[in-house]
Amino acid sequence: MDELRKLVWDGKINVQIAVNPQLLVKGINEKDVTVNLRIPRNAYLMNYIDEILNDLRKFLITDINFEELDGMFWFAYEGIPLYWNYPFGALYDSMVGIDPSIRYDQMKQCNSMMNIWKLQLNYSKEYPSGMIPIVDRVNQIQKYWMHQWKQACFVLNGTSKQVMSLSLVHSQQFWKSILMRDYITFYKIALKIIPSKPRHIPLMIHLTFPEIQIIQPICKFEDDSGNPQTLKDMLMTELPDIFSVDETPIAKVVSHGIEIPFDMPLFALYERFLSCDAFLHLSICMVTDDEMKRNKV
Amino acid sequence: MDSLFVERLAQRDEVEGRFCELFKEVQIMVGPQLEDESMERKLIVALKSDLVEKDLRIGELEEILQLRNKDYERLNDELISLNIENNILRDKLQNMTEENSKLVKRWLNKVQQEADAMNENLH
Repeated sequence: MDELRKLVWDGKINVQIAVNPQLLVKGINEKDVTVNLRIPRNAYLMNYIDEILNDLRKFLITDINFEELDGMFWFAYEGIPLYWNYPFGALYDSMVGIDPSIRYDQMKQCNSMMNIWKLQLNYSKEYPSGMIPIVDRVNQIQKYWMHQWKQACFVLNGTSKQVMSLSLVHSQQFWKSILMRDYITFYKIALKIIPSKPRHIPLMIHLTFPEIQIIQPICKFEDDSGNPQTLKDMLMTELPDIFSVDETPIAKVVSHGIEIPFDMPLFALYERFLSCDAFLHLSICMVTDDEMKRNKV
Repeated sequence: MDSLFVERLAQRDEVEGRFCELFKEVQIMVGPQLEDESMERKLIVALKSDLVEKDLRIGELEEILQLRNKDYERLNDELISLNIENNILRDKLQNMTEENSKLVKRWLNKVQQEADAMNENLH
């Protein structure tokens, strides 16, 4: 399982960040100002804002002094604001709606094809609807992340004691393991919190169709007959319109950029694919018409 | 099952890692960060504040220019109206002068006639 967890942890996405032309100094062409980064899937995009702004600082109309800013920076994909409070990989999978197998086949056929996510940096005094305002930069992200862990710990154990009783040194190390991409420290501390037989499983389902929606279902470890609950059981309960017993599913479940088989027990999935915020993020990506026809044949 | 996931994750990395050398890997600085006091940074900050000042000055000068343009238009209008008045007065003066010379001529004729009549009586 270690090899698998390491691969999950090491996933990164090529990102190109452009700037809203209104933020640029007059005379600078927006196409000339982009930042190309590789952002880890298992991290928050906002953790990289300082590095991004450092590269863009000289092109921006005003000097960036965070203490004096009266608005906030935020990212958008095709005009839709990205919520910073979810791991980057989960945002990518759901917003782009990737189909891993088709994407791999297309890439194999064309050697010059590049996988790249193009985002736009924006700044406004009024926050986009539904977005949590950032007032304390990285400290706020850390507090939010710790809150997520407390919530997940409660879902898993019925109490947040395991997280609350972490020493200051350990909780600092835990946070730094995400910033420094230290896989060993992260799992060393995470596995102290995750029990071998949990009460429930912390789960978030990202839906973009018919609208952007995040569902946090209550998932038991076992069903009433004592069998481990599978992904299929959970999906048929939570999303009966998309996943039904009789019909071919019209969507795929993607986590960390790969398609997940429906018969996978949920907790086994959680142990392998949990994100840095202690939740298992599943993105529901619609299947194309061609593939639907192929599946039926 | 794990081997299937490992295979799929490897495929994902193959796809998402293509041309990764064109993209910068970022290392987040942990702990108190030192302020970047390099000359270039200071220069950029100074030039940006200079730019903001100059933009404000441009705005002010544009407002002054607009005001001056309005004054100029008003002055021009005044000049035209005075010119018209001047022309009218000139015409009036010319008419008066002509009338005056006519009257003088008539008076001189009249006086000449009176003088001629007086001379005839004397003879």
